[in-house]
Amino acid sequence: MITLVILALVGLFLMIAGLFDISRKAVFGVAMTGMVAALAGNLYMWDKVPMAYFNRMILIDNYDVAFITAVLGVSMFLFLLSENYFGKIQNYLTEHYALYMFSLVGMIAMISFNNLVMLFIGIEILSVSLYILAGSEKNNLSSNEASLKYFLMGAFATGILLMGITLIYGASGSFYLSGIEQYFTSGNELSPIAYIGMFLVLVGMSFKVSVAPFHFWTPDVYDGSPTFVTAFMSTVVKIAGFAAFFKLFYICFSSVIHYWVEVVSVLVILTVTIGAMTAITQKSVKRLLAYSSVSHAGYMLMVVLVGADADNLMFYVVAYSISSIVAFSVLMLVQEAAGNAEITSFEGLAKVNPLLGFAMTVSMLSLAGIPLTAGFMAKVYILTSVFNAGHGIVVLVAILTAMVGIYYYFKVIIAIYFKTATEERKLFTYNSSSLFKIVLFIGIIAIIVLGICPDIIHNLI
Amino acid sequence: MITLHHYLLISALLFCIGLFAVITKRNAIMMLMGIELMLNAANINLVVFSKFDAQMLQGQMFALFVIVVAASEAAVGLAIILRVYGLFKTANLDEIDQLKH
Amino acid sequence: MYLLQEIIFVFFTLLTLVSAVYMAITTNVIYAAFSLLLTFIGVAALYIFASAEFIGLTQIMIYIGGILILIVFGVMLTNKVGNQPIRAKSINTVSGLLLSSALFTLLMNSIMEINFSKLPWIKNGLMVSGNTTPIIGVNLMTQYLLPFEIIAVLLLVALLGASLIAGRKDN
Repeated sequence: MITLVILALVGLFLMIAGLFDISRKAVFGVAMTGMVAALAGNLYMWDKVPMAYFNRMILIDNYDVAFITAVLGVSMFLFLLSENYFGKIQNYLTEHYALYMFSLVGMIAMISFNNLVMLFIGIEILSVSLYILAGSEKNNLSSNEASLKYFLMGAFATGILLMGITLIYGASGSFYLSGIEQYFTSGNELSPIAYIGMFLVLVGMSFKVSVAPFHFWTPDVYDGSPTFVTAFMSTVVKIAGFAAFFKLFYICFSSVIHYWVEVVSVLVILTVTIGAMTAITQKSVKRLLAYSSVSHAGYMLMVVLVGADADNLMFYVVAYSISSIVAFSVLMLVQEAAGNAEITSFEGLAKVNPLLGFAMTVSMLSLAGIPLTAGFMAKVYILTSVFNAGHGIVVLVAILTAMVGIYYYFKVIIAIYFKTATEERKLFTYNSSSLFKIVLFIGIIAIIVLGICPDIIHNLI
Repeated sequence: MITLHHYLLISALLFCIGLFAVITKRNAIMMLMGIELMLNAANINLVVFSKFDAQMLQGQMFALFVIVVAASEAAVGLAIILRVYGLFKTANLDEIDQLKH
Repeated sequence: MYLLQEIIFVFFTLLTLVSAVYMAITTNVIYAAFSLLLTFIGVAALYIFASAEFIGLTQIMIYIGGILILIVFGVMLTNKVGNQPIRAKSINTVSGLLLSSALFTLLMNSIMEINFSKLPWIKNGLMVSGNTTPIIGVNLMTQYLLPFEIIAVLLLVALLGASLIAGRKDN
C-alpha cells in the first residue's frame, strides 16, 4: 500500500517539478530515489501477516511483495540505461518520468488486487501510459504507428476482458476474489455464463500479455516503439501482466481447472511454436527480441497451465528480464552507433568492443536456455513442473521449439564472433557510459550466478 | 414482462455488433466506435446484475468506473489518432504501414 | 401500465440495436458517429429501466456530452470535408460476420440455458428498489474509496498523455 502511495506521490512531485528549471540529473535522481523508497516500503511487508487495505480492495502477501519487488527492481535496473532515451526528449521531460511512475502504480494495483475493480483499473492505468510512451518519439513515423496499433488492440482487449468480468460477476455475485473463489469451489453446477466469462477473461488477458494467437500486435508495437520503451514493455510490464494472470487463475479458477486446462495448453503450444518459427526469418535484432518475448510468454503461461508453483514463475520472469535487459542495452548502443537494429550491424562486434560482444553472447545463451545460465534453470524448473502435471506433449513441443530457438539466437552470436566488421563499422564508437557498464556487469554476473545457484531466488515465496 | 434474459440478450447482441465493427473497419475512429459499443454492452450486464445486489450495488459501481475508463481511453486514443493523421495524412490502418509485417 | 412499460422498453431496445447495426455497416464515418448517438441514448434508457438512474444520467453526460463530441471532432479533423461524403473501407466482412455471429450464438445459447433461480446470490439477493444514488455516494466514500482515488491517477495519466501527444511543441 505504502509503495503505491509513494510512487503516485513521486509522479505528482515530478509533474510539479517540471514547472521549475531543474537539471536532468536531478529528475533522474528523484525518480530513482522514489523507486528505492517504494521498494523499501514494499520489502518491509515481507513475511508479515497478509494485510488487506481499504475494505479488502487490495491484499498484500508474500506473493505480491515478491512480484512487486521484481517489478521495481527490474525497472530500476532498466532506468540505469535511460540516459540516451531521456536525453532525446527535449520538452516535457518530467512528464515522461511521471508517466513511468504512474504506470508502476498501475502495475502494483494489478499485482496486489483483491477485487476485480482494482485489476481492471490497474490494467487500464498501465495500458494508457504505455500507449503514450510507445509514441514518445513524436516525429518518428514508426513510433506513432506503434502507438496507434497498441491503442486499438489494447482497447479491444479491454472490451473483451471487461465482458468476461461482467459475466463472472453475474454468475458469482461478487468482484472479490474470495467471493468468486467461493462460487467456483462450492461444487454446485456452474452457470453457463461462468464458462463464457472465464473464456473471455482468458482471451482478454492473453491479448494483454501477448500470447498467441492474440500476439499479432506485438512485433509491430515492439519494433516501432523506442527501444527503451520496448525493453520496458517486454520485461517490467510482462512481469506485472503474468503476476496478475497467474493470481487470477490460481485463486479463482483453479478449482475448475479441468474446464480450461486444454484450452490453455493449446495456447501454450501455439505461443512457443509461433514465437520460435517466426523469429527465424527476422533480420532485425529488435524484431527478433519481440518474437522471442512471445515465445517466452509461452513458458510463463505454462505456470498458469500447471496452476501451482508461483516461485517457478518468479524465477522465470527474473531470469528472462535480466537477460533481456542485457540484450536490449547492447542493442540500444549498437542502434545508436549504426542507426539500425539489423543483425548485420552486430557483425564483428566482439573485435570492436569485446565487452558488448560478450554481454550480448551471455544474454543470448540465457534466452536460448543453454546450461550454466539463468535461462536454462528457469526452463528446467517450469518444464519439470509441467511434466509432473502430466502435460507430456507440451514439454515435447517446448523442447523442440527451444532447439529452433538456439538457431536464431546463435545467428546473432555468430555475427558477433565469426563475421568481420566492415571498415566503416570498425570506427564506430559505442558510447557506453559507466552506468551502461555497471548494468552489463551486474547483468552478466546475475545470469551466471542464477544459473549456478538458482536457490537464491527460487523457493522464496 | 421484462426479465434478466432480455437485457443479457441485448447486451450480447451489442457486444457482437461492436466486435464486428472492430474486425471489419479499417478506419481508426470507426474501430474506436466499435470498442465503445463493446464497453457499453458490458456495462448493461453490470447494471442489470447489480439489480440483485441492493446492498452493495457492486455492478453499478463498476459501471461507473468503466465509464471513466472509456472516457480516458477515448481522450488518449483520439489524441493518438490525430497525431497519426498529422504524420500520415490518413486515419486508415491499411495505409499506415511504416512497419513491415 | 406494464404494457406501456414494455412498449417503451421495446422502443429503446430497437433504437439501440438498429442504430448499432447501422453504425457497424455504414461506410460513412459521420453517419456512424450520429447513429452512435442514438445507441448511447438507447443504452442510457436501458440503464434507467434496470433501476440505475444515476448511471443512466452519467452515461448521457459522459458518453454523449464527452466521448461522442470527441469522436465527432476526431472525425472532422481527420477528414478533408468537401463535397463528397467521408468513406471508410471495410475488410474481412465475411470472417468478421462469422466470428461475431458464432460468439453471439454461443452467448445466446448459454444465456437461454441459465436458470437464474438456481444462482444462490440472485435467489437470496435483495432487489433494488427506489433511488440508488445515495447508496452510490456512500459506497464511493467507503467501500470503493481506493478505486475512486486510483481512478484519479488514470484520469491524470489521460490528461497528461493527451496533452503530451497533441502538444504543439515538438521534440
